[in-house]
Amino acid sequence: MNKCLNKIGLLVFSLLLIGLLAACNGDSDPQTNGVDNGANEEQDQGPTQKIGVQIYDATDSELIAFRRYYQDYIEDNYNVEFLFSDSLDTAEAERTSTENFINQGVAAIISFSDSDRMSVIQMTEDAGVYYAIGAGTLSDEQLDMLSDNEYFVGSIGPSLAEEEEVGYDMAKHYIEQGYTNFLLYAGGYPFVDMHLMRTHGMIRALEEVGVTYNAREDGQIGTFESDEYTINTVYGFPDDSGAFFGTVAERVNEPGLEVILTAGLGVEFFGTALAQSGQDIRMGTVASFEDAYYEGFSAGQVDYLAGKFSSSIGPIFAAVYNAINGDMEVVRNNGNPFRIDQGYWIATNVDEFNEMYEMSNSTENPAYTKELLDMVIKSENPDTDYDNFESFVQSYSFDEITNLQD
Amino acid sequence: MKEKIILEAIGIKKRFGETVALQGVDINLYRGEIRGLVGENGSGKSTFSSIIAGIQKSFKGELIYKGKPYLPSNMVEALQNGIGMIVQEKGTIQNVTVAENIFLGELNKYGRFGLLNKKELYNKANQALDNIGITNIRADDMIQNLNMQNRKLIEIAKVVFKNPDILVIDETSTALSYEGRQILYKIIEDFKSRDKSVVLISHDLDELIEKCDTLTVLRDGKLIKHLNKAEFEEDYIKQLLVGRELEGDYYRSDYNHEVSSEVVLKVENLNKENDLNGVNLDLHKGEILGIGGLSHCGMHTLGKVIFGFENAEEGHVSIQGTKIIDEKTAMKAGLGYVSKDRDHEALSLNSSIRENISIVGLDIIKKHNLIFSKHEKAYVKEQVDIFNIKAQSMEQYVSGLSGGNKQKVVFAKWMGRNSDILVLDCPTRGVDIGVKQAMYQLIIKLKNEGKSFILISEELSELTGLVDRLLIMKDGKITKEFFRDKELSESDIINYMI
Amino acid sequence: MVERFTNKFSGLKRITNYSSWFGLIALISIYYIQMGESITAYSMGIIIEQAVIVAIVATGAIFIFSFGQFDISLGAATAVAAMVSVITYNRTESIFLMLLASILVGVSIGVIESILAVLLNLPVFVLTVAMLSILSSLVRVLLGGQSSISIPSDAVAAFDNVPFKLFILICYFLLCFFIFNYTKVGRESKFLGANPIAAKQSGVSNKKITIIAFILVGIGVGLAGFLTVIRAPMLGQTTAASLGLDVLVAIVFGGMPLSGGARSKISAAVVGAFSIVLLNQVLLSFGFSSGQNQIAKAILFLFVVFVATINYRKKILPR
Ligand SMILES: Nc1ncnc2c1ncn2[C@@H]1O[C@H](COP(=O)(O)OP(=O)(O)OP(=O)(O)O)[C@@H](O)[C@H]1O
Ligand SMILES: [Mg+2]
Repeated sequence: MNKCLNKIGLLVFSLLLIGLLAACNGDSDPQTNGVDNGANEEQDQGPTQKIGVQIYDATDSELIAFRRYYQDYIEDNYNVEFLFSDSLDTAEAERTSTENFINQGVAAIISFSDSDRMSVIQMTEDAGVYYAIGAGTLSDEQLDMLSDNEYFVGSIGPSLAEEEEVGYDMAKHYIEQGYTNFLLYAGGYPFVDMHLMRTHGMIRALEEVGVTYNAREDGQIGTFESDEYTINTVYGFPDDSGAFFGTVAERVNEPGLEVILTAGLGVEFFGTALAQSGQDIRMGTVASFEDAYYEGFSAGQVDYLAGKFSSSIGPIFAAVYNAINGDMEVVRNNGNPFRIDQGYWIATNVDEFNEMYEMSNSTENPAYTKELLDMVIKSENPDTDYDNFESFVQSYSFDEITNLQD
Repeated sequence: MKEKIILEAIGIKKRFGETVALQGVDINLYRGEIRGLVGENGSGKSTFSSIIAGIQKSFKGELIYKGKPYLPSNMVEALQNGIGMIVQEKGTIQNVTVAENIFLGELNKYGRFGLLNKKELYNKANQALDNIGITNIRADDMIQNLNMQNRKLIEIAKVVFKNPDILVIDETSTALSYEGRQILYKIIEDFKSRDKSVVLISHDLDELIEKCDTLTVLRDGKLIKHLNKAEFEEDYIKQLLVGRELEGDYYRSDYNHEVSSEVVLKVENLNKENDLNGVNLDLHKGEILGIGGLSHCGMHTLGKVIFGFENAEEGHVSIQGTKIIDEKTAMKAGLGYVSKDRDHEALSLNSSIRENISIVGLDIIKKHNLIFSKHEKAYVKEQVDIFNIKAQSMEQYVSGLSGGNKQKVVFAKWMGRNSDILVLDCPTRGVDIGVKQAMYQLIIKLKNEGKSFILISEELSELTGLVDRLLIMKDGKITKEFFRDKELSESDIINYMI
Repeated sequence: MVERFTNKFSGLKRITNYSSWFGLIALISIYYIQMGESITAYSMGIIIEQAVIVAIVATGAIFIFSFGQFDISLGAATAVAAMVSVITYNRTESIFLMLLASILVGVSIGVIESILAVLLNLPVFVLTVAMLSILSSLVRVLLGGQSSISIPSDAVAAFDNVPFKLFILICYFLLCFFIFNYTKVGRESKFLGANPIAAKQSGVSNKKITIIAFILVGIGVGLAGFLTVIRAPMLGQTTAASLGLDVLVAIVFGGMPLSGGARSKISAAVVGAFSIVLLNQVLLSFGFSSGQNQIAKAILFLFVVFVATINYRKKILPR
């Protein structure tokens, strides 16, 4: 008897729970609508279009910043709704998320996840859902295979050559200032392409000043030889053992160290060791304009940052928005999907950083404002075309964007 | 005597789902009274007593205790108010110490800052054990290392230590051996001498007639009659119990102890630390071999070793040349075993009657290696009917059966399998006289068909009434052998036991 | 007495026995109301797609749960089976050998695990904890330093359809259902879960049951490994990492008592697997983000466990 009541209770509870959660959610909608002051009434014609966003890590601060830009700025200014996926760490999860987005009736998917991208693109094509890559690039071969896919919009992101260049520029920045003792962090070398390319860039810059690099046969990061320069290396990621941070602390405390060059995750992995070493060591890194780096710059830990800004994903939205409005042709590169390079903003001192930081993190006045984006959206600017779009994307630097804004 | 009423129960009714366990029972209990409660299995004795001991809460009717309405919300509260009960089923908890069992539910009294004051707790517990004359169990022993009798004694110590005004003893003597019973009887007499009351539930009419002042007979949840000492007469009580006259023999009517010379089971030189000390015996075809003794004599262990449930350190058991190494080989060789510890070892309480009975009969039930519900149900139904197991259906969980009916399930489980040799350890524990008679007659019938039995029992009348040969064990050794004889008296046997 | 088996009591019991089915039906109804016309063959397809792997592993796992044991290494075992099948395909280009390899690996893991448990006389749970870390390292070894290994997706495209997956599920389910309900092994494993001592005394061999159960779940793991590759032919370190937990949640949602025993039922696996997928879909349809979704599921899970163990906990208290 008791058992019976329990089970009925369970049923009632689960239904209540669903209902309750649903109710909470229902509440939140009118609120956000309330914030939309009458300014964008014109867009309220027609049903809101849903766009799915696939992310590889829901806790990543860069992605959180992207999300804020889409949900707090773009949603308020265009008649779209973004649905975000969970952290997609397997090809299976990526597929599940794609299935769910399609089932939820999204018009397009913007992806920041790359477990098995080609399969997802295939699924979206079958389902008639547009697909665009928000960060990263495709190989020539892949792009070729997709040339007649009507639903594949394109990709915007740093090309591998661009990544190499970023590493090169960063190393050169310090070499030119006369520093000779470096610690080089290679991240997921050689498995993570972007870390590999950035590290190669740094190596190239060092080789230019006479350092000999001895590559290793097993593909891992090799060793450096030079009379004038001292270069140590660290690579890999922390695991459960804590060994990683031990190594990091050891390297950072090596006497004479002047500069840490990281292929990524500078403050995250080196911040503590740096603070504890108490020495005057500078750090250059590739990361993004987020709070950890704001503090890093303020504390003088970091003095060079190549980073993504939150609204750097504005143009890919513009392209997708054109596509779902039926204006695909303005983002077609000779009838093919586009692949456009977009690099980083580079801050070489605290003032530059602060300026960029502020713009990157503003949801009222982001780098890519509605006015800017409207320039490449056909429904707002009937004269736009692909060339216009391409040069728009390529003018990504801080100065170019501020110029456009003025 | 009216002014000396301590507890008045008026119109007590209790249902378990569809089952009506009590349908309006009135009982007045007096100070200084030893009240026997008798009735067939499932007649509601345990249900009634658990109501007054605060275990069952939802019932209809009224309780008046010491002149005031009374409704304890749990067992601990009832005990604090002066009503303590020794339950029929196991009332101890595994994996903790004796002391923690004794003070269960009030451990916080011995806690300071969340830590138990162990020393005080152990001292108190030892005191409780000493109180009833138990010295071989200590407060820091772990419960799981104790045998059934000792666990029961701990429950007794626990309840008696609280010095209740009413002591309820539900079917406890059958879990105890001779010495254990003496302890219990002493407690009962002590209670009476201090003008306290005892409710004694038992199926042993001799015990009831000897110990009780009054008897209350229940049948199917109904009150049948209250009897005064003057009205105690065995046959009359039996008739009241069953509602008809018991016909036929209760035990064996013959006194022939001749059995076949064929040995079906051989026990050779079994040794096991603390329990067995060089045991040898032969069991013959068609023989009922009885084993009796006190609680530490090793007879229960012997039963387990014969069945392969426990291993001896030395020596072995064989059936026609096959050594018994575990339960599986034993069962293959045609052996069956009814354990004394039914709740713990013999039954799965949270399984149905069907599952409990069929588990050892699957080889008989299966057709082409498959088990179909139809065949299984037919097999189980046969057993349920033979032993008249009182239940809502064979799908009812065994936990919802009365004590005696549980025992019937255990018995039925092994009988259905048609084993050639059965080791029966207290097989009629808690079973009412009607069913007991049926069980005895079945054993006799099977014996006559050539099956053999080892009957381990604490009830001497059962042993003298059934066996061809009786072995008495003491300190792990067989010390005496009796043959079936009209003249064999219980007092002769007891002399060899102690 | 026992004559009337079909009285009201057993009728009521039958209803409560199927309450997890009611939960599933309720979810289906809510989903239906919520989605309205936008329910398509596609919607139904993805529900099956997303449930099938969990359902298969959970079906096998019921055996282990039925005798009161716990295996948390099933996800990792599936990952290893999937990896080996990818490697096999890449060497042989044979789908058949790939399937065979996967099942072989699943069964081998089961055999090793159960034999170790039996020989060392360890609780299965402890062993599977150790096994979990061994299998996860094995995954890393099989990856050989790469971040992922894969087979060409068109190699298995022919099998990447709902009917095929459903077919595998049904076959495996029927096998397990049959063994669980119509053979000695099935009966014995339930009884073992209900009271191990009584089971031993009834001649039930814990060792035999453990080994058979692990072999059966091994077959399921092998099938799941194969289906994992079909579903997403690119495998990495985290492949099937959440499967172990999903299986556990599915079994609980399906109404399987965690302590095993008499109430164990094989259907719990499938009912549970479909329930979680549907719950997920329902929550998504209400516009929940995945994060909220996880929290809602976790709360519900705790609640189910709480309710399911109320009776159990009551028994511990003095009576
Ligand atoms: N927990 C329970 N759930 C369902 N039915 C129960 C439960 N406890 C007792 N019953 C039923 O109530 C009736 C009375 O049981 P009770 O235990 O009081 O009998 P009893 O007189 O103590 O029998 P015995 O001599 O066998 O111990 C029986 O039919 C029994 O099946
Ligand atoms: Mg009773």
